Amino acid sequence: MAKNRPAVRFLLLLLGISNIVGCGHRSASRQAGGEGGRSDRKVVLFAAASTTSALEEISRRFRREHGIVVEANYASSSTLAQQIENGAGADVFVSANENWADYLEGMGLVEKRQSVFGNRLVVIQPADAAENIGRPQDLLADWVKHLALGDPEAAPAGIYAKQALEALGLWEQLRRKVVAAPDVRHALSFVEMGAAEAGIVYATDAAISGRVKVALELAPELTDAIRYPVVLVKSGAENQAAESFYQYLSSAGAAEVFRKHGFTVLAAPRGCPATPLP
Amino acid sequence: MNLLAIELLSPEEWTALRLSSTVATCAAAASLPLGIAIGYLLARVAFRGRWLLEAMVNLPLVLPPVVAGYLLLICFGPRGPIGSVLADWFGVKIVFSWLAAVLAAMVVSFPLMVRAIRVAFQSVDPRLEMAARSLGASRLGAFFTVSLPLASRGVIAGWILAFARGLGEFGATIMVAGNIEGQTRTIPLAIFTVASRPGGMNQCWRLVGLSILLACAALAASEWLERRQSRHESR
Amino acid sequence: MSLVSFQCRHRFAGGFELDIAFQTDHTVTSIFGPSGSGKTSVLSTIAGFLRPQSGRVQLAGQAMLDTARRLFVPPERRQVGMVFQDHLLFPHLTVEANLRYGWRHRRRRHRSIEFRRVLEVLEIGGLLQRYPGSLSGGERQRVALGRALTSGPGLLLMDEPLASLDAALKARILAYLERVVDEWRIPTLFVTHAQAEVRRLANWVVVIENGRVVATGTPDDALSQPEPLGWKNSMGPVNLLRLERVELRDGHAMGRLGDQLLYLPQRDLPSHSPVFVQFSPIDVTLSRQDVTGVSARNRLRGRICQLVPLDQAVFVAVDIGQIVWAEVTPEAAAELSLAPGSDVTCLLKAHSLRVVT
Repeated sequence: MAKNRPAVRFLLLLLGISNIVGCGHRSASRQAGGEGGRSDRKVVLFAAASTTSALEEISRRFRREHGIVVEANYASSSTLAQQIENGAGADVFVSANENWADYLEGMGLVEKRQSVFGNRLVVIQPADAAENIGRPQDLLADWVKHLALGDPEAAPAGIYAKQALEALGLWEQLRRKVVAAPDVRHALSFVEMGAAEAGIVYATDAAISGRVKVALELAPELTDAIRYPVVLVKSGAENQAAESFYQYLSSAGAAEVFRKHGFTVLAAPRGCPATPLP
Repeated sequence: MNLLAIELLSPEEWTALRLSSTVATCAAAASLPLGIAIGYLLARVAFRGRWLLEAMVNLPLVLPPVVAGYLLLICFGPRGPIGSVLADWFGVKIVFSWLAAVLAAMVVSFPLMVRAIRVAFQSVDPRLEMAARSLGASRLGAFFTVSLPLASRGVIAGWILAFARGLGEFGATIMVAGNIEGQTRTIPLAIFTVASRPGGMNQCWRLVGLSILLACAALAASEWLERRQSRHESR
Repeated sequence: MSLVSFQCRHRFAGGFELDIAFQTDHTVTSIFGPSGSGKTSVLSTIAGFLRPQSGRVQLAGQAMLDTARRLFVPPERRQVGMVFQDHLLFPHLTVEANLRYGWRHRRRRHRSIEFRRVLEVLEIGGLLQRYPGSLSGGERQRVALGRALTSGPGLLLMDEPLASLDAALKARILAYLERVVDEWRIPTLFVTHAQAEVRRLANWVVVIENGRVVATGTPDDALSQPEPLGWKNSMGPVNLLRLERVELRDGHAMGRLGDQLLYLPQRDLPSHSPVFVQFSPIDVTLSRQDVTGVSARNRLRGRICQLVPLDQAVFVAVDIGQIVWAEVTPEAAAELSLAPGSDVTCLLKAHSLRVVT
């Protein structure tokens, strides 16, 4: 027993430290969540993977101009929405698809909502591909063994891609070639590596990669409008920093960045309250 | 029986189950010969650079499976060192096929198999092989007629463990085999796919339950066999 | 051409050095020495499990190992049968399968060994369907012996075959070993640290201590040299007398040794033959004169042939037709003026004798 004392003491110390750290963490996130109404210097941002580069640049500008740090979590919109649903302390949510914003709204988790920017779908191939795809129907060719998409059931880019292919009447024939990547950035990687002979991603994704080439752009009429709703989450409502970031996203400065990265900017009015569900 | 089956699982779920079982079985079977060889080597022979072999074998245990999958993709993708050979010489594309799923399962379950097999051989008296050789058996003959039968329970335990691990493999599979419905959508991938849909978390409980059941059964069988092996001393 | 020609020099990882050379033409040779002397390594080298740093091994004229010529014949081709101290029977095979294991791999040998005859000689026919785990110690050792025999070896190697058996069993298995030797006369090399075994079985002894050969010769010669055997460590000589005949006299069993008679501690005749009696030197009392009126039944007359003075005792070797060792105090030896050539009588209580068959 005497032998164990130093070990026991050490363990208790460890437990104590982790407790304090944990408490501190929790209190920080609570503050970030807006309880207590203090103006904090931090915004917790959950954003779709395809908006990574643009939002990172916007966050940097925001910090330079306002001195507030934006902590961002980039993943597929479906994953993020589910995390928010399960209580993750996000202030602002940028989804790649209206569905997921609707979903959260249905749960009463949305304080404010606006659509600021949009995207287009393109078909991509590895940069050094020998044969080129001229029309969507070329995807049916034998040499296209695999078509990489974001998950057509969950990832917005995948959902739109499936919609477009259905509208073209190609979905049923192509579905056995479809590799459902966890998110659209993975789909991009698969094509970059040549593992998939073709892929459908956002124009913005294709733009950042030098190892893929855009074969063709899919007509916007084939799908619902590809809009990125920006949501101020209920848990971020009291957070002043979050509110100003939310406003900043529809500013001219942000629009400039969006265009630079290949997004389309929508003429959406500023500060629209959450639209009630029909 | 058929009616009952239809009620239990949907067609996609049956496909996932079938795919998972096939992939896991093939993966465990394919790694068995190499697993036995390396398990035996590590149990019996002391050689220089042994630590290197141990490290390589154990690497997939500590490596995040997605990383393993990523490395496999680089290697076996059409641009990779092995993949390009397969594509150019045999016209075979292995990534995004069920074979890639087998490959992913093999890589991540190999260390578990080797571990169990090594323990099995360690519990077999090496002098028994000496006795066999003194009676005229060749090295290989002594191994197959004496050591291997005596280690068989542990070997099977290792196989089952590898099977169970292969059944549950996700990270490496989704990277190198992709998530293609009907072809590579194993149970873990199916769960992920269903759960990713809006409100989908509630739909996947059947598959989740099935996964847990299979894993528990395999673990119990493997544990029981390993225990019987260690009691099997040479008397 | 000798049956076994052996030379080996090897340095082990722990620092132990082996430097042994010997030859033998005899059917049964024993390698004798205390534990840790390197005896088992000799056997391992002959069998092919130890590859020494330098050495030469020839069995019946055929080279099995020659480090100078980089020759090494693998164990499975050396045609040696080995009986291990802990039998090493295959636990997953029946007794029959164990026996047939060697039989499967046999090749032409000097003698043909019949499977059924092995079963008879070793009396293991009734055990065929059992598994080694269910056998007694004696049965296991017999099966192990049988397994080595069925492989039709040109040389039988035995590594302390009786060491793991209790006293009663030792004697019985020793009898079986003698039967085996009698039946097939296979050249045999056995390792032991028990003198009794050497005396019973061996025609030739190689005495080893600390990795070196210290004596070779017939059992009587080689084992009579005290120093190398470290008698100080209480290994000492053991007396083992072979009785030519056992008869019943006046309702008592008596053994005959030349023209001398030995009272045995029992009334009935031992059923097996040959009969040996074993006793300790300390149980022998010496007298320079004829004695009467003492309780010790046995009086053996002989002549002293050797004296070995040690710290606390003097060992006296008396030739009564066979050698008997007696242990006396240095004072007694001085008082009786014991010297080689003196006639003495050895007094021995009947109950000090242990009849071994």
